[in-house]
Amino acid sequence: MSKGVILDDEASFVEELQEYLTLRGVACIGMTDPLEAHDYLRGADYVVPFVILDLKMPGFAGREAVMFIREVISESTLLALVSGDRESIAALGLSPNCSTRLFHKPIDPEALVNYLTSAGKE
Amino acid sequence: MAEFRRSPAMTLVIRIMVVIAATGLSIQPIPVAFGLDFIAGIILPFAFIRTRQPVWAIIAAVATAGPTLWLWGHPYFIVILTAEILFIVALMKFRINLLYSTLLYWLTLGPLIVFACYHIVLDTSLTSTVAVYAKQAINSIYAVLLVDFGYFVYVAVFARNRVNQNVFLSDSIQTAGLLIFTTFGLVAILVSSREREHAVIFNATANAQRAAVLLESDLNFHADRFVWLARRACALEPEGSIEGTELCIMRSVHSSESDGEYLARSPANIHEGETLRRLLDDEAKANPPTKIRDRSPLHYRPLSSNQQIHLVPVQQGRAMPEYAVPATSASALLRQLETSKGVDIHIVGRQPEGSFIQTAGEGLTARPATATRIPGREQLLENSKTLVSAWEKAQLLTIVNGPHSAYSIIVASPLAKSIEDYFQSVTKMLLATLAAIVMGTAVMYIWTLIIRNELSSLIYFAADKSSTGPNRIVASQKLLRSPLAEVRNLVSSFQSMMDELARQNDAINRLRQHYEKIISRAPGVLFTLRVLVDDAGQPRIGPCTYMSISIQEHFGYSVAEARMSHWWKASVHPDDWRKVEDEMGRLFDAGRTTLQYRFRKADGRYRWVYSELSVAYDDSIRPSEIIGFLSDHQDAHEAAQRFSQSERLASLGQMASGMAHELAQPLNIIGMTAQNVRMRLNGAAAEKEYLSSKINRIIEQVERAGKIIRNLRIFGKSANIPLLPISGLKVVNAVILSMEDHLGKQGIKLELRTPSEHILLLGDETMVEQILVNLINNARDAYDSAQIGVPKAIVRIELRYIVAERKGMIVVEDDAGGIDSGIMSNMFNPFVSSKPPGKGMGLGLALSKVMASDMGGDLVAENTPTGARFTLTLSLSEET
Repeated sequence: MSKGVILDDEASFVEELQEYLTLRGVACIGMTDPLEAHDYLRGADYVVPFVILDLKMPGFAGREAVMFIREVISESTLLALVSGDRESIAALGLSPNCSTRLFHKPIDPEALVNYLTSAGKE
Repeated sequence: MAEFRRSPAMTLVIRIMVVIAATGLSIQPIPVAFGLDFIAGIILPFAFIRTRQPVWAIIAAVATAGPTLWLWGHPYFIVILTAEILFIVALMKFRINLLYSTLLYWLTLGPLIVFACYHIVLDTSLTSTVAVYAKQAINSIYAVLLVDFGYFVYVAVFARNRVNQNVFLSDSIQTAGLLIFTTFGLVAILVSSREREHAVIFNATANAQRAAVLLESDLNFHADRFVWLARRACALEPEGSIEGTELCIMRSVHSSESDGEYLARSPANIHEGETLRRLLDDEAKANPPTKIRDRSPLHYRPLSSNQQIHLVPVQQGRAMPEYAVPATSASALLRQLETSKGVDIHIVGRQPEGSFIQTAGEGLTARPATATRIPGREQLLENSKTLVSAWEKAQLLTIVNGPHSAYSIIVASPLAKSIEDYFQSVTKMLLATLAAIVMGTAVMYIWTLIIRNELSSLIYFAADKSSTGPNRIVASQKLLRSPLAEVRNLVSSFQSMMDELARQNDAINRLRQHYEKIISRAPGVLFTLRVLVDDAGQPRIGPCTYMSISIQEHFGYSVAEARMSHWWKASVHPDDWRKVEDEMGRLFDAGRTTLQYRFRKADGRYRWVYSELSVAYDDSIRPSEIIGFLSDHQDAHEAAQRFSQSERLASLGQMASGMAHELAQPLNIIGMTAQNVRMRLNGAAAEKEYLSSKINRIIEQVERAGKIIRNLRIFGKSANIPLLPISGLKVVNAVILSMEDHLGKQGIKLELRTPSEHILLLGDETMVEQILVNLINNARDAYDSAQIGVPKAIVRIELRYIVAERKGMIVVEDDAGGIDSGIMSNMFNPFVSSKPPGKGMGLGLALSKVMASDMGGDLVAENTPTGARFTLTLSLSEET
């Protein structure tokens, strides 16, 4: 079963979100190190259905972080960006993409589940 | 009104010198001028002209010259003086100064009037007319100088600020006046030496009982003296003999021949039939001497210099050897004796009858006389001796005009000078006069030389205003070579300079008024303090020397109050005095200082004030004065307080997003943890261990959020933190003690460097500890990120003191590679961090900066070649 990836520098956040998604039937794994996540995505032998990416990690933030992840994921992979600031997709300089959505902290985990599941059906 | 444009003292000296020189020339034994009495008569009209009252000047001229009508017997002086005053008055509207106007008169109209009055009408000889002209011109010029001097003294003493000094003659003109005066004086001296002085010689002829009066003078205004002598002669006539006495006024003949011849040649001039008594009575009734002239044709002509008069001096009744002197000298002697104080002249006898007959010749009618009452020559001398013996220190002169003369005039004088002395004194006085003239001229010349250099620069500027540089110098040198042009240029330049000085003076006055207005309306108080020097030679602040009047407006004190000693100290808030005193003590080292303290106003309220003090130095770079400014700073202080508070709020707003992020994270985790537990509980019973871990996570996240909130509270605190003396060494040691074990386990070593002296800082001990902990943790994280461990991971902590600047520093330095240049500019902002995930929120440095500021200090960061250096600066405690 293909699993999505959660990438955030806050371990507690990753653990709780991973548990929540799992309980809700969305398989995923959590990671706190961007390089580790990058390697995992690049080496995955399946199409990773989604990536939940924290946009504000020390030394790994914003547009550069998104582009870094995009390099190693499929176009069909859903990208859920999580930000603590009031920024937008446009402000990040990212091209509109239906597979990319921005969630602001504190995130509503149920809304995230809906996004991941509905997009998956599409 | 313009003020004096040159030094009054200098001008006064010059004018006194001029007046003394002119006076000296006027009171010579043979005066070149008529004398001070004459000058006094013409001063008044000139004074009125000087004060620009022409009508009064004309009235005064007529009034003061009026007595001469009686005194001299003719109105011509009235004519001359009035004409002169009218002439000068007419020139007033052309603004020609008084000296030049007077000179112009005596070079144009004056000589014509004198010539007409004296030579034509009075038949005065041409020589004497010239003498009269020169003397009157001199007197006029002298009067001008006197009037100008007097007016100058008056203005200098009483009306210095009310009269424009332009009305005065310039010093150059004064000098010119003296030179003119001297020139006319020389002319007068030369002419006077040839003039026949007025002497009255009585010829008492016994047979005709006539008093033959010979006047060798041609000066009509000495007729009064003649009358006076005539009265004396009559008074001495033997009683009863006066009835037959006739006055025979004869015309003196210029001749070397005998008197008989001249009498014979001028019978028409002999008036017979009029007795002396009648003549004198008539004269007494109609006093004006002109009547005498009308009735007695006094056509005077001078005696010849080759006529000899024998002088027989008699001292103490003893006849001395005779002197044969020229008639002119004898007459001068007579006049001198007559006009000198204490001189009396007596006719004590006449020549025997017959002597005159023998020489009278044709034309004279001898009349019977009481010969027995006429003393002979011997008797005459005896009478003289008798008279003289009654006087101590008297002299007796018998004047005998030639072997055939009947002239006998006995002069008795109380003067104890011999004739030799007289002539010697005359010679000396003449020499003295010449010396005075030469010296006066020399003094003026030297004075001109003295001011020449001083004023040559003025000539330079006046030489050619269109040329510059060498051409202008050449032009000025040409002017210097021309004395007349130089004088003219000096006057012009002097005037220009005076005008320029006046303009500058006006500008300075306007500027001064402007500054006074600025100072009085300044938004503060200006003051100056004297600098005193103590026994050790060190400067210290002295008493107030100036306090602007705005002290009244700003603080309610009068200037007098504010300049009292101890006023300032008593007005400073007691809690602030120590700080103020310390700051003032550093004033001479720093050169200037600013102060903010509470200051009590006159109404008793304390206000925050801002004061700035600056040291002024003299040419020797020694403190000479302290210039200060004091202003009410209460509003600004309150505004600053509000601004500081709002700045904190603004900072809080700026970090709102970061704070939201930091708070959102734990809240998000708490929320998801709770939902996870709920989902577990909905499905199956959760294990106790699971629930316990979730509860611990929630507690952990709650504590995390609480810590964030606690840290943020410091930004909302007031800055009024009590600052106390703290030992920097003690604080550092405490921090090291608490951290070194923990850091040591991480491979990080702490090193401490301290100075030998123990110095106290001013601050809050807890805050300093917190700042040090933050900085050391920062260094630790930096080493951790750079993966640098033992033995290179060293955090150096150093205490430094700069006593002169009253500063103490705690430096924390590492070798962990330094601060990222990208965050260097905002590294003290909240939630800015370069640490790896989970290493901090970015509040440590921001909080440290705020705490340092709250203690009146500062925290700065800089990179070193190997790492970063943070410096916490605090003030030294007063106890240090």
